[in-house]
Amino acid sequence: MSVPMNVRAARAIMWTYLATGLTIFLLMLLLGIAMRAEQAGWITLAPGSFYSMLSLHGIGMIVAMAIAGLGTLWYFVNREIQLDARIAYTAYGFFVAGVVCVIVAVFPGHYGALWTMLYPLPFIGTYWPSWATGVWLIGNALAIAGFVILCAQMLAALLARYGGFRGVLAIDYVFQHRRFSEEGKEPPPPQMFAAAITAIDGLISSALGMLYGIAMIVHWIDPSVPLNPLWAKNLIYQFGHTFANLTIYIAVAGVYVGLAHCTKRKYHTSVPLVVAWWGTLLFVILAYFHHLYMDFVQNEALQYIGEIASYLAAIPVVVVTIFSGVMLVHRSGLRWGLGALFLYAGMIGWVVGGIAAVLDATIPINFDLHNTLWVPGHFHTYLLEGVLLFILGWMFVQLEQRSGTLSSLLTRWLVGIGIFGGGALFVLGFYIAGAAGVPRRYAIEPAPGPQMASIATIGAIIVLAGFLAMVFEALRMARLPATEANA
Amino acid sequence: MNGRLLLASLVLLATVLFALAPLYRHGDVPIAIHHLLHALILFGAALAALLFTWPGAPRAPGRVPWLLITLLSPLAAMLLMWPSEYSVFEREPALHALQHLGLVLFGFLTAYAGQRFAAGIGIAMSATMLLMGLLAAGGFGVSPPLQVH
Ligand code: HEM
Repeated sequence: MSVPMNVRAARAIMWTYLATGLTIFLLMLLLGIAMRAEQAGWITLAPGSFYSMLSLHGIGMIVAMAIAGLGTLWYFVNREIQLDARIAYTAYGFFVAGVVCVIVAVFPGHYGALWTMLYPLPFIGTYWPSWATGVWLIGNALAIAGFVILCAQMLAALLARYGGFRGVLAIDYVFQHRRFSEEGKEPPPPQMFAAAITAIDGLISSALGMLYGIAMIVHWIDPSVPLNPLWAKNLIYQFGHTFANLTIYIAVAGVYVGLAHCTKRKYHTSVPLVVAWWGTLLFVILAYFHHLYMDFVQNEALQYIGEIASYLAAIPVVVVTIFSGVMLVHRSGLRWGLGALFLYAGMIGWVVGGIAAVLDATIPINFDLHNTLWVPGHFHTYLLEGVLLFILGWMFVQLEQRSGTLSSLLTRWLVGIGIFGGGALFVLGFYIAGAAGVPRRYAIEPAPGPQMASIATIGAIIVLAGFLAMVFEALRMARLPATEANA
Repeated sequence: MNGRLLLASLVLLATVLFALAPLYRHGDVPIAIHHLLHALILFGAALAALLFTWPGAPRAPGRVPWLLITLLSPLAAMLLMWPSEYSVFEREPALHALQHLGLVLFGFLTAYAGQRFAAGIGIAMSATMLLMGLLAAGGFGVSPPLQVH
């Protein structure tokens, strides 16, 4: 049986995005280890280098996860309605151009005002040349453009496939459930909600990110144009937080499809699942206000909106997805290959990181944890132990299905202990130091920062070993002959 | 000409006349208000384009060039709203009117190219462009004095 042209082209796109995202991830992981080792006092970097590396690591990791996840999501949408591959490659071109610019801004440019590029920091008292700031800003704009292209393409496809927003958001399915079922209609499958919410929220927040980018580029060219710093902070955090947060919703599509593959059961769309996704749609774009709790000039009502939205964006969809996921696995006779293991472990990372996040988004608790290492603690948990694992999970489900084999027990233990065990040790260092009040984003930290950083560095090196073992295993499986059904 | 096309033409005409205001109205307008007036121009132009392309039955996404035009036009519009140029524009009404016509063009293109790419995308891109235009009033070229140097 031969694979249709469209499916082959779509797979090529998915694997291109996956391979690119995971390669960037590996490079950024090395930077991460170097930074944590400096915080531990194991190595000493040139002054300023830590902040340049932190800038690249922060943006690079998020973009790496977005690229890998978007390739997968694009593939899923293409299964529902055929997409034009050229558009996916155009977006890819924008992403790659953006990544190259950002790398040039840091090596050799030494840009060091972090991924937030918060106005006016990239322009005042810098230790890097002005061109590096410009190239950084342009690189970011290019990457956002790539994201917008994919969002627009996916949204257009979904609108066409399900008959406008009403169909995409399954409004009739929820409000006229009985009639909907009697007419024999089907709501979109769960992964399409991930695609729709990514596309809609992605377009909204990218508009804000682009406005910020243009305002910053204008200020870079013509410093006489002032920007309002509070306005600027709202824009960049709205975009940055939403984009980073969306990576989990992008990647969770892999859980819906992958777990269903592994258990040979269907991941059904249900009314609670749809309503939970509506919550995410609305609240993800408002949750970012929790980044501005310490900005006393911010309107007070927005602070409360930020707190409520932080809870409502995350909790319903996590609860419904995980509950359905566990039900799917229960008594399914699932064989625990690396694919299923990653997907399942990723749900744990999502929950732990999510709980740590909403704790920090709770105003009285935020008084203590704001800008401490607790913050990288929570997002590394859900990015490293959630998003990454979802992506790897889907990747291995594909490889296992294609070759009709599972990895050996030893390999599963090695990879599992490496990525999950090492990762747990790594994030633990952030949590303990954060709870003790050690500030984030410092090359040299007060106690117990360096002690915790030492433990975390060991954890991160174990993650690296596990990741490399995973890469070798993936390459080995990819070289195995395909089973007849998947030839 | 049917009613829809007539309405679209009227909206476009009204937007162009509004955009030509610098030729027949003078006086200083604060930057924030100026941004809002620009957003109004973008709105009028996009609305006209949407009316011209209406009704578009949802269909599968189309060609790359339309997508690139609908992506880049709002960015070009925001660049045209570059605040420090106001002084030059204020002195040269013809230039100022030309800048406004540029906004009409980019506003129109955003919606038109979006709808040509796929029905619904012109609406979505116009809405986000309008959001950008309105938000610009909050801080693009407008700020309390900075306390750091
Ligand atoms: C084992 C792997 C990793 C290591 C060793 C590592 C290391 C670090 C370190 C040391 C910091 C600085 C913390 C601080 O003092 O504020 C940091 C920040 C950060 N990391 Fe990672 N990281 C890893 C994985 C990831 C992943 C998977 C992501 C995202 C997908 C990520 C995204 C970020 C971001 C966004 C920041 C914040 C940058 C900023 O504060 O501007 N990291 N990481």
